[in-house]
Amino acid sequence: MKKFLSLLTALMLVLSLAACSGTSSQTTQTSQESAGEEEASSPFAGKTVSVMTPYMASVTTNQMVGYLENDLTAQGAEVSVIDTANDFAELASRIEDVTASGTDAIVLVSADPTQLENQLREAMDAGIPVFGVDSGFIDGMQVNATSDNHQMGELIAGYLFDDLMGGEGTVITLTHRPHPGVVKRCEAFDELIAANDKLTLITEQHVPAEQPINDAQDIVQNLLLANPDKGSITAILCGWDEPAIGATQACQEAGRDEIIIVGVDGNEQAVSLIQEGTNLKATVAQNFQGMVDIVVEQMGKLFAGETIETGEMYAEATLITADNAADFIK
Amino acid sequence: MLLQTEHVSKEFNGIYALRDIDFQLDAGDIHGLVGENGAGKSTLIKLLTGVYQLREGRLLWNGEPVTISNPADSRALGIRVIHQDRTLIPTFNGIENCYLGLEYPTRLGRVDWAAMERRVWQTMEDLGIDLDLKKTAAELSPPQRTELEIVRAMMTDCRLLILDEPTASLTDQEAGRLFRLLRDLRQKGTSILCVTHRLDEIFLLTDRVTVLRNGRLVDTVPTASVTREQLIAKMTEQAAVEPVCRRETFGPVLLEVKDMASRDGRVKQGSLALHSGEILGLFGLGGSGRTELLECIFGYRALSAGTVLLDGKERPGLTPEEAIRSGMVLISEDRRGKAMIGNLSVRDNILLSSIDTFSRRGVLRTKAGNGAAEEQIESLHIKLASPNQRMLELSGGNQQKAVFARALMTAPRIFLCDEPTQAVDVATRSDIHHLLRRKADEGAGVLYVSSDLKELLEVADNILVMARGRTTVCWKNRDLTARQVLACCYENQEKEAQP
Amino acid sequence: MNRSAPKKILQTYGTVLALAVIVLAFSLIRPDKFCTLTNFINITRQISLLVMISLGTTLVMSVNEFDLSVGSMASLGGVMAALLAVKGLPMAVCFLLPAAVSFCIGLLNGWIVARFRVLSFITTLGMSTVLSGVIYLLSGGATVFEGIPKSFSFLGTTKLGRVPLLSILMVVFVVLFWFLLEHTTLGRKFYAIGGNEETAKIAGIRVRKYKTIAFALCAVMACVTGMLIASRVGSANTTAGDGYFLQSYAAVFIGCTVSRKGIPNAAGTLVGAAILGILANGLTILQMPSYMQNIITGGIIILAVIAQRAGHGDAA
Repeated sequence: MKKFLSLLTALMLVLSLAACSGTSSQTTQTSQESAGEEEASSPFAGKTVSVMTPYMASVTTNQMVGYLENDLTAQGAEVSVIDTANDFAELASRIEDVTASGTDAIVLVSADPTQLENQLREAMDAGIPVFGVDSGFIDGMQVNATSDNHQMGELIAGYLFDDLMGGEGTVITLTHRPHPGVVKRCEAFDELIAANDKLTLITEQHVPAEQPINDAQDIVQNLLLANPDKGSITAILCGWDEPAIGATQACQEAGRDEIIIVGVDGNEQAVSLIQEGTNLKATVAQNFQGMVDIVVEQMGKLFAGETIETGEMYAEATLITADNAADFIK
Repeated sequence: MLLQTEHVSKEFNGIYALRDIDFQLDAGDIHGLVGENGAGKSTLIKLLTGVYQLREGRLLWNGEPVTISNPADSRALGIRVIHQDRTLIPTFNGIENCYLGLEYPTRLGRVDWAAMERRVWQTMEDLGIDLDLKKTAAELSPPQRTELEIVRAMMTDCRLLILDEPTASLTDQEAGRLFRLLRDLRQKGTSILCVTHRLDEIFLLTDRVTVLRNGRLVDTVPTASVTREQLIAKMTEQAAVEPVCRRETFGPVLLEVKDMASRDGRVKQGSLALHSGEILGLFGLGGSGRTELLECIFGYRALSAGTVLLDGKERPGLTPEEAIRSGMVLISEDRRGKAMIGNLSVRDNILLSSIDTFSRRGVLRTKAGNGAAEEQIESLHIKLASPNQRMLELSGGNQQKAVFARALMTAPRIFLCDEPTQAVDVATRSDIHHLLRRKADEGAGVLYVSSDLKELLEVADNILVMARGRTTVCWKNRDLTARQVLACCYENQEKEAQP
Repeated sequence: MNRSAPKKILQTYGTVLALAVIVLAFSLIRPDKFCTLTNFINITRQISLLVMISLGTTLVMSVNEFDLSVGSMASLGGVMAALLAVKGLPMAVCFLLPAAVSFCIGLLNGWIVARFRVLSFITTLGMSTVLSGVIYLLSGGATVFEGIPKSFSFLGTTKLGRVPLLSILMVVFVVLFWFLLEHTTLGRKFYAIGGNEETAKIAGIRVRKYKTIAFALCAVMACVTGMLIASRVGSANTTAGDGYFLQSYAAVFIGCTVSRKGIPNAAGTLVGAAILGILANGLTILQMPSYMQNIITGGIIILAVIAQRAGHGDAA
């Protein structure tokens, strides 16, 4: 009976793992085998890497996790992906779990490490290297590969203020400051707005993360009513692309095609709206593949026994406008 | 003079529940309070216990004016109340229930259970009560629960003990024990105010009695100076109630139950036959399984054995829904818990079982339903402000009439009545008796459970005795005495206990 | 008499009064912006989704149970509809198939609760977790966007004249649910079960059956809401419904205070959702920062409930 039970538990575990890693689990296995045969010397062989994020529902986070999974398994590592659906406390517990199970490396994706410091400390004390992709950096971590969010904020806000608005006008910002990346962009927005006397901030509105498009639609619809005259709002500056999409839909519905909207991330729905010539004029594509490349490279060095320099490393971002939007659509 | 009220009135939304009451209660008395439902007894008690706040008139306690603005004030004076709906917490054991509202003693920062148990034992010993304190309130029988409530009341200095229908679910024998206990308390200096519908108890127990009618105090007299008829005359404007007549000949068998046993073992072997035109009294002491037997027949409680035959046809796996469709109704003993929905209107309650007949493809025919409900309200003389009034705002007797109204809506031929006159005033009680007799005369059969043996002897054509989960003898109710029935009950109980 | 009259009014109409005060306040502060037909039409559209999901919750609460899986059911509904649309199935199938699936999930919820007499709180909490897993399984955790045809957005974005289809759907559902609860035997039985399950059973009402129906209808409403969210924004976020879960209970609870009996009801739910929606709308129009909006909205919910309790007076 006991045997049967443990067998059943194991089976359940395997099944749930398979379910979690979705369709990619099969490719994982085959690629692992071939990798094992061909280059047994790969520093990743036999290593387990835990990829952890609370924001898997976000398109971009999902993309990064996908790249990580592909690249790491191609190198021969075993990858387990853990998503906690917006729940940081849950993520903290999961970190404790993988630490206890002795994983070889933890990669945080889009998760602020300062909120998880205690658990990460434990992992690092246990000798588990902690990497970040688009996350943040705390002492003791190896590398956080990210776009320089501050720079991205400057890039898009600068483009909006100088090129699209001609240096003056009124702006609404849609933000989500609990997010480690978005908050840096917002800080860049703040600085640029403060530095320019001819810019007026009408209001900053926080957009919740569960359904940002829908919520941004409602918020912008209400703000349009509060500022009903054409030209009373020059632009809407969004911390990431989803609220920008919602804002665009609201402006289209209200027939306010004079309002300029920009976002950050290079999300596909946003890029196609840019291409269609709607209110949404520009976004900044983060180089997610570039970030993942950095982390995989540094991890490889570490596994091979080399010492690496710790700290933030940046992958360069690209501005997307109507001119080059087509290149970013699959 | 322990307690005195002067010109006390209480109104709700412009309607006076009490008007100009001058009530006096002497120290060391057992004082009875009687009146029909809605006469104002509950309101008076709630004023004394701080549930309602007094706004007109004043209260004197030992001759000093006092204000009771909340239950804590009332407790501080030494007033304790035992309600008709018992206020024990079902999942707490005896000790925990006794300590409700009292500070738990602690030792080294931890609750000192031993000290608590000692104190409860001490109180029980003083009162001469023997209870298993480890049992939760839910596991105790109704008389045991009443005793536990008394223990709780006596844990601290109690000057005035108020009992609201204390014997509602007790048999005569159990009530007798309670009365001895109350007389002992009086001996020890506790005054007692006892509210009851059972007039016999007034004569057995009380020294003085106060009669309320329509919110006014009619009279306070020494109990020895009045007769039962005089008392009823004071309570009601009409003269004494008319007794119901009994029958000797019956129609065919409507309901037959053979060797029924419930899954939880409360009913071990129940058999009976109910005829058209018959009121069959079912008598049993507390815990004999009488309520459970009715619930089993009705399909509400799970069976482990036995058959139910309706009109001679076997009906295995009967559900309450099918039972009602086959012409059966159950008037449950637990009115608040199983017979009414307090938060819904009286009309909704009356239409509960028959709602489907007042609809077309699931849509209510409001007018037809309302009309039918109002017809019942009128024919049963239910007193209410409007059919939209919530059920729990009615007095006990009128609630019970509304429960009967709901039952009558499905035109039943078999009535399963469990304590149908519990906590109901004299006039309503008589109304219910006559109603059931009339239904029986029209061809229905009535299975009538009561723990009040005198009531059964008054209304039943035949009397069936139940003890320890088994039905035993069935007598014709002719020249039958209470002593005979009780003797049989105890005989069977002992027989069961021996092997 | 004089003392009790205002109390009675407060008790019966306290919540509606609160709504009126809120509307009046916004109208006085920003008459040009808030008090316009366009804005009122906007408000109806903005509360429409919350109202629809809350109507389902109202049913489950009318039988005195809870369904904590409405949020993830809504998310699942949106994801299923979007995925079907991506597959290129006819729109009718895209919207009806998820509704049918949700009906079955609701039946399962109800069956478990009624058959095994377990706490609905725990059962549906478990179901909510299961559903989040299913969403992940179906979508891989990512927002479904790529390949959704334009016609998918029809229900969520169409307007009849100036009035959005969503607002009309909301009115239709409110009337439907009001009729269901007040004027059908089904509704009367729900209330009977919610009032006292044991009495209802003895009165011959099939408690299990009707509880299961309540759960099933609730799940369908959650699914419909989720599909409409997806249709409106043109993509299906895997957590889109989660934000509605607590709000819908807030709406129903505020709605209970509208009824003198304190029971869940369709009109009350509309009032509850309207209070939440109008606060969000008005405060944004005042360009109040989001944190202030949270403080004010939360405070008003608490005040509304207190006001209603206070109306009960000393009979409490």
